[in-house]
Amino acid sequence: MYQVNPQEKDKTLANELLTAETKAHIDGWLTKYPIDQRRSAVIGALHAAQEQNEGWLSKDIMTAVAQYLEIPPIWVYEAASFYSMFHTQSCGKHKVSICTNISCMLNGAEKVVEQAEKTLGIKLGETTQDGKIMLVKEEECVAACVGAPVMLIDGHYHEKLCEKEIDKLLAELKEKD
Amino acid sequence: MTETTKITKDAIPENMVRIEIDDKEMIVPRGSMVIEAADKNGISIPRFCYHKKLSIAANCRMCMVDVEKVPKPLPACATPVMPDMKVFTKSKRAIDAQRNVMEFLLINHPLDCPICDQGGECELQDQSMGYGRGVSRYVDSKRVAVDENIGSLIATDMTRCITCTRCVRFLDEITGTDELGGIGRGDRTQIGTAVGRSIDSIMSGNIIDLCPVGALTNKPFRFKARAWELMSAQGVSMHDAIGSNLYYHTRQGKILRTVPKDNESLNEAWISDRDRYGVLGQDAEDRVTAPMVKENGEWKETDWATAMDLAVRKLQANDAKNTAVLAGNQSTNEEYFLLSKLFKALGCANIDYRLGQSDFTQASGLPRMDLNLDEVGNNQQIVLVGSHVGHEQPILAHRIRQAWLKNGSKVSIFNPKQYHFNFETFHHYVGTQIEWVNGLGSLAHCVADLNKVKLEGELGEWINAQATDENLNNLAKALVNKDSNVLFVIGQISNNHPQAGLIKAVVAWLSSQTDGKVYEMATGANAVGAQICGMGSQNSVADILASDSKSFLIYQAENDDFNNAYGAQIKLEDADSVVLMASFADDNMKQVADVILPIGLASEVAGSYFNNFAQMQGFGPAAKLPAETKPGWRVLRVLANMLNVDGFTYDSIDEISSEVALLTVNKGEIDTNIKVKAQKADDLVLFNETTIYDVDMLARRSQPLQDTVHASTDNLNINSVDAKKLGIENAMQIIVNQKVDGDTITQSLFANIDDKVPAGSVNVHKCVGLRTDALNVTLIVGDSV
Repeated sequence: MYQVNPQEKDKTLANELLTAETKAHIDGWLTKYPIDQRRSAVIGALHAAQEQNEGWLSKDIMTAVAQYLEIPPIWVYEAASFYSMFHTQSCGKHKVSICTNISCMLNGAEKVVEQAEKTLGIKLGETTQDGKIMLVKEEECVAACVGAPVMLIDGHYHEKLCEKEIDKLLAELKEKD
Repeated sequence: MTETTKITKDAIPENMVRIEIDDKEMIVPRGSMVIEAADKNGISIPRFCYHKKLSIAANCRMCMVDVEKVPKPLPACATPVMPDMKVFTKSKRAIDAQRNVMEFLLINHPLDCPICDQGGECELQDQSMGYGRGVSRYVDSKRVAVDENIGSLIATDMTRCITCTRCVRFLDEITGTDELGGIGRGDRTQIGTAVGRSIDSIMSGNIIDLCPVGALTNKPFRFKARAWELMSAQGVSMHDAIGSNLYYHTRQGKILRTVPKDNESLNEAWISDRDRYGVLGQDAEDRVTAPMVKENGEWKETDWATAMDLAVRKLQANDAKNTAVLAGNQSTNEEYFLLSKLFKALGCANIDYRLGQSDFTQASGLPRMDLNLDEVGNNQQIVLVGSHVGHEQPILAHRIRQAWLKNGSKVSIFNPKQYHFNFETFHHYVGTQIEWVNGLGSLAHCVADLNKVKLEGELGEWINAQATDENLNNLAKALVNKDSNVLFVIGQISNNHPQAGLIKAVVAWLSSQTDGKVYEMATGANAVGAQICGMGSQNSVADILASDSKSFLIYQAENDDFNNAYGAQIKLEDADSVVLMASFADDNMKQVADVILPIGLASEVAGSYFNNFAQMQGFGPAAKLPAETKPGWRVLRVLANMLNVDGFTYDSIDEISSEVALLTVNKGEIDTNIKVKAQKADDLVLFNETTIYDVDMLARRSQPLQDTVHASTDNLNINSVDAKKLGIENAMQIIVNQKVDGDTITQSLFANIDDKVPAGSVNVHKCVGLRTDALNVTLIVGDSV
């Protein structure tokens, strides 16, 4: 039988840190699962929390999510540390992820990485000095092999990249706030 | 079953299947796993992640076996048995698979066995001897993990972890605290807490035994000894009346650590942290290891003859009628037996061990116990009456949690504080020490209305006077339902309550109306033994402290054990003589005593305990007695001879044990025909709480336990509503006044605003020195510090 162990009733952090918008978002996810399997809502909840918290998940906001979902904090931290789309350290607002799995690699993902690193002046896993753009380390397959090599900018797919395209995309991104 | 006889199809029951493992035939339950069948039949399969008490993870892959007609090896822990299945654990395919898994497990494992505490008792070490290669083929850099500080009990070396997740599953399934998890992904997964938290479960120490490698080891035991240097001696828990079975591991006669001994009917495969680390209090600074006498206010070590002479003179100085014996509750049956036999022969009626209690109306017999521990799970409705169960009898809490988890039992609670439990609660009634008892009365009133019974006697009048309400009526309906078995657990908060007799009477009445059973907790590891040996049938400790007694023998007890520590101290200060027979003597005892006779702890002597279920469990001496210390029974025997009392010719402990075994054990009963002592709230109501590591002399002195979050504090916990009313803020200094019988006890404490304490109530820990028998207190708010 699947069960969630009883949690402490304290919700101070959840009330303090989560905005009404984030809470509404999490509530939406909660309606999709049976109450004893509310752990499933954790990924949706973390996306909302990450967006609210300028692109990364602090220890406190993860605890807040756990309190809000009434699940153990460790479950939230496990999920946050497992997926590459969650960032547990302060990082750039915009995320550039370049797939380096097999299909993209065969189609020149390494070159894409090289060029992006040169253009932005940072290595994979680093953030530009103005704190705006981050190159996500080790993005796994994003299920768009047909369009390899693929780059994701803030979740938007850009496929069949060439040098010109990459420069254009990154230049546009630098202009954004 | 021999290997030559073939099992015929007809001989196999419906729910069983016939399988063969390594050509050995066996009949095993349908749906069980291959590894269980192999374990039951003595066939060894290597494993790391599988544990009989935990869920199946199948993530170490070490238990690979070869199954006929299956093209690849299968994990034995996650492969259910099938009719006529043929399993080979030693075939080339199985052995190859096991060797390959072993090689992968060793890729990231450090070669630090010489400095690893697990060395010599390490499952990985053993199995790499059997399955590993002599030389590693892996040449790249190894993974290194940062160690976390998870508290004072468990040391971590996470680089050694092979991520079997036994600890994660234990903390999820058994303790329900979910403190560890797998952080990260793939080959970089590490076991850790949610960012720098400690592990606060009261059963956390078991993850040390579960860890197959040296990633989680016993912190106080760290670098103390090697597994092969240790002797193992069987023991019984010295801290609660479950009587958990355990092994003390000793080197050169000194206990260095404690591990559980499997006993399916009591502690299963676990022990609580209190049982694991409590014994470390044995080396406390105030341990007395030589007989001591006080000369002109100065303590001097002396020899036994001199000390015994003085003790005898002190005890003879007063008439036996004015002599009193006050004992703690963790000595052996044999000591209690001699103690009560000796002083009864002398004509003394002032003998008691119930030092922490204040209402003795229902305390003259054994605790009422209508079931065994393994029957707890058979009850659909469990009602905890005044109990922080996990902190009183951790193993009972484990049983209740399993009942909730596996059988869907509904647990209701009546308590003076909103404790957090590791099971869901059906009805959680929290009120002041006065309100929750009234709440219990309301429940009884609802049950009476539902069953249409007329209540009589003083108890009936009192129950009738309690208001009914809808919530309690729902609970009452669930309890009177004929289809559900009901269990009432009377906890230690009830035992120490000034209305203990009333609470127990209400519970007994409720159980008679709901066809329920009663589990009445004993307070103290061998309180039941003390009662059986006749320590609780005379004047109570309250009577004794109020009497003219001038001469005292204090036996393995101290000031902090008393309900009225302050009154006890004054009484002993005024006494003509105080003989202290104990393992420890703190400053308070040294101030009042005239002579100290050092005796051994239960872990250092042979003897027996009775547990809460009146089962007698014997044990031998695990540790050597330090220096001049002697076993209590020998000292008592000599004392009896010196006092010229006949019948003390015992040469060995066995002679006493056999007499104890012949004592009649009357079933515990609760009387419902009682006089009701009403309690009234004048101002704030005190809840004076005995915390988990403050239950006896030994636990109080165990530094690793006192360094955990569960240790007592000198806080005054108060609800935010009351705090606001009185202008109290966190960390403010507060003067508490407790008025009892014309006396006022005053303590200065630090405010801590905590909404787990109900409004109208203040909660303090017992060690601060307030009495448990008077509920009314007033506060004076001082300056913030």
